[in-house]
Amino acid sequence: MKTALALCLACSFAMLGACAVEGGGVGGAEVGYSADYYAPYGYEYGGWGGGYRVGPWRHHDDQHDEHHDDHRDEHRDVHPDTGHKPAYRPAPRERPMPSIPSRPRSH
Amino acid sequence: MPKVFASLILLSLGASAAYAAQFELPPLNDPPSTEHHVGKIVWADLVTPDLSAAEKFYGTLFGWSFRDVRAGAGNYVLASVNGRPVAGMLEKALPSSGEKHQAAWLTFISVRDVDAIKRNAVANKAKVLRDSVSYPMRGRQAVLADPEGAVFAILASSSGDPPDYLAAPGEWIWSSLHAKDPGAEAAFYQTLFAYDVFDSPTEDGLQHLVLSSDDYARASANALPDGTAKRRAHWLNFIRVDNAADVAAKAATLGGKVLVDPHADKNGGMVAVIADPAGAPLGILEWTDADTKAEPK
Repeated sequence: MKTALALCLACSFAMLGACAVEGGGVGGAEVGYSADYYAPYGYEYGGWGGGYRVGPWRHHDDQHDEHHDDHRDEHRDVHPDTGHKPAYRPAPRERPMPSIPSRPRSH
Repeated sequence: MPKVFASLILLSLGASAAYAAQFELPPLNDPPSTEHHVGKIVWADLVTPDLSAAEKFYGTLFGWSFRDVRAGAGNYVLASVNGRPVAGMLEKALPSSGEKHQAAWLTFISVRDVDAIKRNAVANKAKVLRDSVSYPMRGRQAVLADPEGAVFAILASSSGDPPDYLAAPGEWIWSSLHAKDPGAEAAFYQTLFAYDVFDSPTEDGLQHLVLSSDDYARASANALPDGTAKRRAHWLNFIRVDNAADVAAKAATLGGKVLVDPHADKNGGMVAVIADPAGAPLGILEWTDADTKAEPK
């Protein structure tokens, strides 16, 4: 009887461990959902001025597009503030600014 | 004795299966696909101390409906709009000791190999906040902080990524990163997700960049505004709305706050930032049919 009980318990824990596999894929020490991040309190999220440009590019603004391309030609090799090369690789100048997907769902 | 043994085995398996169900986060795609869009923001989870208050707020504001999903020790609900899953919401008590915290939305970015990207991120000055975990139906995920401390998650979905469609009202349509040095941050994310990085013109003296993959804009990277306010690097996700002013006003009546008043974004359309009753910030963004250029179906 003791052997049967031990077998049952071992079986239960083995199945439990297979449900959420943490780190290197062995174990299952994390019981619960892992994406449980809380942000620190007391920070300000606003303060955007009138010129803040946060949204996606909109395709209908062709005049804007031209201005934008000019800007990229001007700044693609140097950081606009520091005059240094940017840390990132700028997209090729012939690439137009992409926007978000525009295909509507069929259903 | 054999009957007792068999009963115990069945009981044990039943108990284990019931516990396993607690971890069964729903798939991103149903039916599943093999489609993957590395670098796309594919999911968002809210962590909040009051799930019922969050359900009331988001349900009233965006028309979301909710379904309970067992997620281990916490309560987790799947939010849907128009029958499509849109977000997860996890209830968890606020930490009772140490630094004060608040509710937050966590941004999930698509990857193919969580562990490889995690190693790459750490090699480029990121920190691992939650190590890689696999959920059978959801996939494998990890939570990281980028070099400036902005928190994000990476997810290799086991059911593929959602297709690239225009978001409907009530769905996430856009994401933005706000950091002291958007250029350095863009370089970091470019290393992880092979983003194409586009410079946006600036009228405010601050750097604004666009991160794209698959020839679609995925997010903007923006310099944090100057000033004395206490600011930190963060990701912000935006819900598509028909009228940002109306939604912002309604959010305030539901116990939320308006953090950035509705205004015309320099790239067009009305935009605002609100916080839910537990303080989690999120953006709202108007988008009309005139804003899109037809592309092949």
